Amino acid sequence: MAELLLRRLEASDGGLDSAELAAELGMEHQAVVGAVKSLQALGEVDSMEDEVQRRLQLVRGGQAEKLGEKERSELRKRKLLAEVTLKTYWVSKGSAFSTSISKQETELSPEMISSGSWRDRPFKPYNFLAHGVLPDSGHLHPLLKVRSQFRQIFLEMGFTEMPTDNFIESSFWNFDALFQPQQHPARDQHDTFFLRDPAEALQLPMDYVQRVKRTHSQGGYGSQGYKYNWKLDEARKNLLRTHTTSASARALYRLAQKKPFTPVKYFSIDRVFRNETLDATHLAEFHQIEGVVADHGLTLGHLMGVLREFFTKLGITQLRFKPAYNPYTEPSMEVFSYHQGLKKWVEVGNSGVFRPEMLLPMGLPENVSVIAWGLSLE
Amino acid sequence: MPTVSVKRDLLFQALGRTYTDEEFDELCFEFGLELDEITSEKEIISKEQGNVKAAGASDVVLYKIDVPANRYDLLCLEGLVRGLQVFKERIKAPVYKRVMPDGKIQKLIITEETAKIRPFAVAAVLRNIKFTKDRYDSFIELQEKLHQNICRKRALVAIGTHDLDTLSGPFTYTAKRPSDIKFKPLNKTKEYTACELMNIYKTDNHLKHYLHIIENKPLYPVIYDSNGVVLSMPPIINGDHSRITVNTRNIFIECTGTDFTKAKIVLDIIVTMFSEYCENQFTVEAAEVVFPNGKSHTFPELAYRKEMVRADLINKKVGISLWFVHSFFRETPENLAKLLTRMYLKSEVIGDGNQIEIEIPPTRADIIHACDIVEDAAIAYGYNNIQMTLPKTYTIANQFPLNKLTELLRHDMAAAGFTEALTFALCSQEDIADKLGVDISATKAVHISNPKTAEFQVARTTLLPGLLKTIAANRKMPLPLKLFEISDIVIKDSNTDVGAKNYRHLCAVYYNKNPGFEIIHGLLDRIMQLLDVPPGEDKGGYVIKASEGPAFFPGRCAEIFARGQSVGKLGVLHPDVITKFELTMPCSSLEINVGPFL
Repeated sequence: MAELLLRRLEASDGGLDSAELAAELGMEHQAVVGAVKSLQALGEVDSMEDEVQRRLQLVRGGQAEKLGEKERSELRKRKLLAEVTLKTYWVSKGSAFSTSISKQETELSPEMISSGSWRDRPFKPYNFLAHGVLPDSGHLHPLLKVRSQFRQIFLEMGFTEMPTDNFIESSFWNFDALFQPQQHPARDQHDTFFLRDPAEALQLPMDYVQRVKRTHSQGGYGSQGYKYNWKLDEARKNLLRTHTTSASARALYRLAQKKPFTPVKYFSIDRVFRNETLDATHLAEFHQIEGVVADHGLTLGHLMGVLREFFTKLGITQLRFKPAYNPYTEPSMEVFSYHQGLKKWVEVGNSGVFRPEMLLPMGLPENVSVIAWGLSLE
Repeated sequence: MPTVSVKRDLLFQALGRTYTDEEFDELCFEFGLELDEITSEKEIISKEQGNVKAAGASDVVLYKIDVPANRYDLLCLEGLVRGLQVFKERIKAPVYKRVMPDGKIQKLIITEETAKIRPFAVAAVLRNIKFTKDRYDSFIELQEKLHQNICRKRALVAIGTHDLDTLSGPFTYTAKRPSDIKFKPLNKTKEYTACELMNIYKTDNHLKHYLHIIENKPLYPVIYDSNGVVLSMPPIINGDHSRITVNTRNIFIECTGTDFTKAKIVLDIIVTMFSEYCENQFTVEAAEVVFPNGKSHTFPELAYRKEMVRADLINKKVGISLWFVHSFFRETPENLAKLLTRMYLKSEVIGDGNQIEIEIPPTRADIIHACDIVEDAAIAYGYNNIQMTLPKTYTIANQFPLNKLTELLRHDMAAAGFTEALTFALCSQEDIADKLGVDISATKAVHISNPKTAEFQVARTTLLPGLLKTIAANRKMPLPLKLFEISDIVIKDSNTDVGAKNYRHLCAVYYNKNPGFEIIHGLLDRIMQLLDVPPGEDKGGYVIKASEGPAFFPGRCAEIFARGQSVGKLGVLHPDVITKFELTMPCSSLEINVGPFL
């Protein structure tokens, strides 16, 4: 270091500032000073100006402005100089100036009211920009609030709520009664939660079961049927219901046993289960909303009309209908709505007219049609 | 929904015109299809395996079209084009004919050994067919699509297609011991026995899924020709000897399976789709199948079925006649017949002018009832052209009493300062048993047989675990945490028709630096107040009595009795329960069955 210093000194004319040299070499100032001092000790240094001392004296003398920014930050870093900011206030007389001091009140109190002293006291102004204190309240779950809204819409349209308080269902009511064939992929292990315990349904309405069996395997009621071997064991298998349409089937079956036939409007909103792995867009449990109308002479036009009223109550007015396929409805329609934000048509529901193969074995009269639609709450 | 991938330009070429993507999307919407994705082979590989592997792959634009699951006739380019052309009235639907051969008819003899494993088989011949690379690819692809779809992954039906010129009939379909079957399978260079093949294919990503269909059976199905050449070992693999290539001129098709109806449908679909490329267009050469009982049948069936539907029925079901006012909206029987013909259901008006006779082709196996015909008429008319009307059904709405009560209680619980939670009805066994200090067999819980994760082993028998897990996930929130849920639990019950029953429970928890038993107790008092249940057992009201429970801290648990029965428990939770649910603060809970209060 000392040699470096001497060499630099040789190269320069005049003198060298130790701090500047340190910065140039990228070294610690202390190292340079150390080198200077060691040279001094050797007695070969003529004179040495303590730059730092000079600078500090400048400051003390009130001439701090003479120091450059670099020098100042250098001294600051070495804790030899501390910059202190002095804030001063310019005080002048205001309009309500008085020489006596009075404390401002923050709030009205009962004593002030009864004594009337509020008339003579000054009050601290409110800061209206601050937040208030939120009330300590309980909350309803947002999804369930939406469920309440849907319930309200159905009730306003004259629909009666169906009993759906059974998560466990037999394959018969969940699939077979809906004319969904036993080899249908939805009845796979992958898509449906089957039960280990209780594994099989204990009771089924056997004469109805026979009619369903015949319709699947041989046809009837004007249908060719699926023409396969229908197995009772398969229908007995218990599962977690995959749709609330099974509850609708039970309700329609009960309706069919009542003579004479009376038209009905049913709805339900309840939990259904699908054997999915959970990810950002898939749940294993979710809520299905279902609406059903059973009456004489219902048409596809009626279904579209009901859907239009239903969705209008949700604020969805632009609707389009697309042909679709469900094992238990024919004709079937997917309902699309125009999403202003996404600027495209998105599917908002599925609907259809229940197949005669489903309704007639229940015992419903032949000219009764049942229209239905469903969507998911989530 | 099955997805068919077609080359866009080939599609447009066959349709005789080009479309913009929007125009084609619109056409699909009308017809009941969905243009799911516009991509290319390069893009697909790039997405799945990265850009490096994709370099050199084809840039040709592919349309991925979603097709309804019951339309087997739309699973290939040929079918899509034919369907759309008929829909747009650009061509007349071709009539498919089965013809007898000039020479000897091909025979497939089924022996009785197949009865136990794969009893049914049908067969047909496509004579003088002309393939190009695209047509060949389409032929192979259709078989794969059918296998995945109607054949239920080859379990119900398996298709085998063979170069007839490399074989000589009659063919025998039998079943033999695996060690007795030896042949050179497709894409292999030497012969193997069936046992060896089963082992080899265990690691084949494509074929390993089908091995289970015959693996553990004593006899495996196999088809031979008269020279002992193996055509195939269904449903696993075909023989290499009879493989078809782009140059194949005559094809022998066999479909074997466990569902006779489906085997016939599958055969009909393949031959109708590809007979377009035969020299004698849309004809299929017959083949004879001899069953073990000696009876023989000729295939393919290619049955055209006739159904009669009244025109006014269609009008009524769809709603395209408003008989009370605008009669000019009614579709005449002639128009309806035209609409159906556009849907590949050739129709004409007969009889008194009100009946329509519809001919259902073998490609429309999905038409099994008049309602299917009604749907097709509506599609051709255009769903969005149908007038929307409201049913005149007059009904008074009723709420389901249990739900009505739940709604009222929910609002009052929130008013009492508790926050509603929504938790899963399925949970792990530990959640309802071990973590609460009970044995799983004592819970009478419903067990699921095939959960994808351990989180869904049982249906919950109590709402408490769900709420405790919710608290655990919200530990950082300011205390106290006051949660509630009113929802169903499931208990096994042999008195119901399915063997289990739902009960509507109300559960509330208070989680804070102090357990807050008095707060939970106060909540119970408030609930009883709302339910109009007075305090005092003698007045038919409610009372709480000191009790015990493995989930509760000793001496700080009580059972709730109302209207003469036990409806639930409340208390301070046992520290074991708290730690098992990964919580740290004291907690008290309340759970009651809402049902008795209806």
